[in-house]
Amino acid sequence: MYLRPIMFILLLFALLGTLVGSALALIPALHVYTVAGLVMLWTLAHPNALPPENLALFFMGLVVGYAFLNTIPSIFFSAPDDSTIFLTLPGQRYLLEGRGHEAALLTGAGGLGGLAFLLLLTPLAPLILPPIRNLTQAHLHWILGLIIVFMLMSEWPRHEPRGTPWQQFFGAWRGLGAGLLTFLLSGLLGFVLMYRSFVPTQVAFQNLIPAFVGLFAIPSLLVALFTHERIPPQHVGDSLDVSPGLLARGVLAGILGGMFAAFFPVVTGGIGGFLAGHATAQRDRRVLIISQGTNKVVYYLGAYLLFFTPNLHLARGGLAAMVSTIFTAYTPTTYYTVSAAMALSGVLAFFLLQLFSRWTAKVVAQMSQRWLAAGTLIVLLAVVVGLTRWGGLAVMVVASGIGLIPIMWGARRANCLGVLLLPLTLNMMGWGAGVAKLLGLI
Amino acid sequence: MSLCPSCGWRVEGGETCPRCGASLKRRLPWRVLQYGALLVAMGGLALLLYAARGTPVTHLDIGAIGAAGASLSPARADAHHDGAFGAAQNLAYVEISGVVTQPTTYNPEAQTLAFRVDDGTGEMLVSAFKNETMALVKGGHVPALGDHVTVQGTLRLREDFAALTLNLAEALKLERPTPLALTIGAINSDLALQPVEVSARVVSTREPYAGLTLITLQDETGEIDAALDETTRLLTGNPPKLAPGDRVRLSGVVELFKGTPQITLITSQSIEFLPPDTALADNLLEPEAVTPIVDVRVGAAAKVEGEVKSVESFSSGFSFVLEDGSGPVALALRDRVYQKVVGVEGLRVGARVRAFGLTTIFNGTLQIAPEQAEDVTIVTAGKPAEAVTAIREIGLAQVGQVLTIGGKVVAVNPFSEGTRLTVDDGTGTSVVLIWESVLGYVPEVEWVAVGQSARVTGQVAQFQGTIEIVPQIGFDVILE
Repeated sequence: MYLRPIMFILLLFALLGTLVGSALALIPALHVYTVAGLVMLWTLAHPNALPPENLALFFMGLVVGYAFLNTIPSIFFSAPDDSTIFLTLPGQRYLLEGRGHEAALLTGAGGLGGLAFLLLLTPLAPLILPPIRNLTQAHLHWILGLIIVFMLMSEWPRHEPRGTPWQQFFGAWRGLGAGLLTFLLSGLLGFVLMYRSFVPTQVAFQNLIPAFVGLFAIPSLLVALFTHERIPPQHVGDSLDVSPGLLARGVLAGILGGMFAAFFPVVTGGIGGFLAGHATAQRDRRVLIISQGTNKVVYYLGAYLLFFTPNLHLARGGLAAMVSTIFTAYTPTTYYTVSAAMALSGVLAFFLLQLFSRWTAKVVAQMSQRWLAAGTLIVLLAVVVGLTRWGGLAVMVVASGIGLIPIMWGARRANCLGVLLLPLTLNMMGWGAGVAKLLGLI
Repeated sequence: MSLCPSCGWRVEGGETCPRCGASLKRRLPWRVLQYGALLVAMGGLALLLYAARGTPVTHLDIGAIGAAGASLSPARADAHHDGAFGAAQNLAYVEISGVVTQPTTYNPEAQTLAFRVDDGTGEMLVSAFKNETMALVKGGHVPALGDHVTVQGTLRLREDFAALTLNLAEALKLERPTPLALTIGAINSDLALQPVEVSARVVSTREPYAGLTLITLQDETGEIDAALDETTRLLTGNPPKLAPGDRVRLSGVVELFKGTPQITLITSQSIEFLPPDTALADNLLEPEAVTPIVDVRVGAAAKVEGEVKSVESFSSGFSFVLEDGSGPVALALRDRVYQKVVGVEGLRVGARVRAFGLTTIFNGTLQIAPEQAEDVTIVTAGKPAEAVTAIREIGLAQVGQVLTIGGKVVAVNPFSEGTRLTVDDGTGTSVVLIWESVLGYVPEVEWVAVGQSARVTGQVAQFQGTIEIVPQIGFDVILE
């Protein structure tokens, strides 16, 4: 057995992807799927420029870099994507205590644990996952239904009980109602996008990008733009305040959430994070942070890896959906090559996380959050308009309004995931098209 | 002493917070932003929904999607450039229209249904699942072979696969063309995917394998198999029991099995018993009256009369376009019929001809094909063209026209499929291409030689930059 030149080239592409993904992950609110979509469009326009297999490995590196390093903007700039929304609050507390770097490394440690789990799973996945898929296939609709119910019912009133009983009642329901409204509105937006999208058909594979940018990225940036939060100087230590037991608990919870999100359709990293968060939040915020790090690594990498898994070839997550249109992994060799690339890229990304987090921790106190938010906003606007034209911009504006509701009214931002959960779950239940018809979309 | 509304720091008067720098006087009430967000979200969504309802679903040519997903494969790297972008259309909600080209597959256990649609630019699989499948089945709207459909659904593109998922049964519009009543002899491969109806005798029924029933039918004009598959039986019930000798009227869609036409039943209820003494409507007895061409019915035997407007040779015969003032019809004469037609030398442009035969469709054209020479009568013979065109006046502008040239043969070049003569009329030279099927009818062809005078009427054609005169019948080459 020896490393064939083609494998060496593939691994190089993965490492290149890791470098690119890690660097781009530092730009607040720029999602890896947006970047991958741009790369994909370029590749489609130049069919002979890059073999699909090389692109698939490049994407693996890209997503590894992103999964490890998107922690940095989430913690230091409060700019989460859907998979890190549960990291923002504890991350911000760490940041205000001058421990942003430590929080970033806690997620990195969790991510490393998730990576180790995926590597252990690699030889077993082709054997154990296909039967699980067959077993759960017919039950997806009610599993997703339960998640929605759990998500909505686990929302709690954040209002301080003051005034008359009625005032207390309305105060409590203000946040709860905002959460429900957010879920409903984002779900309706999901229906519009699914049946009568304003995104041009030629880039339909990026249909959800304007909505996700609007729901998750823009509200955070607007808040940063209009608030005057000063970030205290950050301390860069050389150890982490965590015991092996806490680390193991966080990793385990993250694995459960991440694998659930990776394996089940519609369930994104955000929902995985939500489940992992609920499994750990009551215990220790360090465990929560670690679990979020594990969750996003297992979700992003696991979902992509499932596409290459022999006997399975599940296209879960945006990246796998993109690659599946131009590439099919026919042999187990590709699967093991991708797994190896994932491991190497993961280690590289972990060290890059340390490096970039240390650097960010040093400069974040001097950086103008407003200018950073404004710059990011311009970049995102350019990407959305460039990719999805004015129709995408209209969707982004409406999604931004919806994304602002939970921030403004004190509800959980995960409710924005209704954009996927509501239409797709109803579709699986067989009611989606009926609702779309009721809305006049079909 | 009060608190900074932005960071909660204790402040004592002043314009701005000493800790966070926030303005303490000119502040936007939080409530404005709260309700602003609600307004943008709800108002924007309402507008978006309103606009979406008025936005038509994008109609796509399947060919534009066809190369999707595969264009980056090295094996298909030369895929059409526009098609390469097909992969980016994955998950789009689009509309396609076309003809169903294969029998629909239906799995009642999995509640899935699939059929293929061809719109002339390409072919695509359309699938329906669970509720939509059952709604189509219960509503009797399952598409069948030959149906014209318009489908809206979600595109699913993979590297080597493109499909459309039907999300709502009502997003499928179905149009079933009225079947064409034909005699069996008129059914040919040109009618593939055309719904037809025949009245015939049952010769036999058999099951080559479980799930497929073949009914052999016969009328005066020929014999054909009608096929009923398991899916059709599942969806439309069992067919009536048939016995040899039964007379039935049956409709279905012409499909080719190993190149041979057969009628595929799209519903088992399309078989209707006829009384045993029913005379089968169409036979090949010669009608007494001449039928105006406009009234000629495909599949029936007809007698027509008209003037020859043009002629075209093909490898095993000739096709004359007749017109009687009501419309055109092609008179197809196979070699064995043509050579025995009385006065065949007069069968040329300008002749008036009466012919009787079975009417069919060939290459989309109405055609009568007499079985024997006696069925063709030349009422008035056509005369050879007299107006001669100077060769120097013939150029690319004349390609497609029928012209006559006259001159001396200056070269004779036989080749495997015919002979090329070079004719010089003093103004120039021209190549005359005589195909083998035409050459045999040229009078005194054995005497053709260099120096002989010839008058040729033929179609002007261009081959590799050279102008050629191509006679369509042998009698248009007159050696003098």
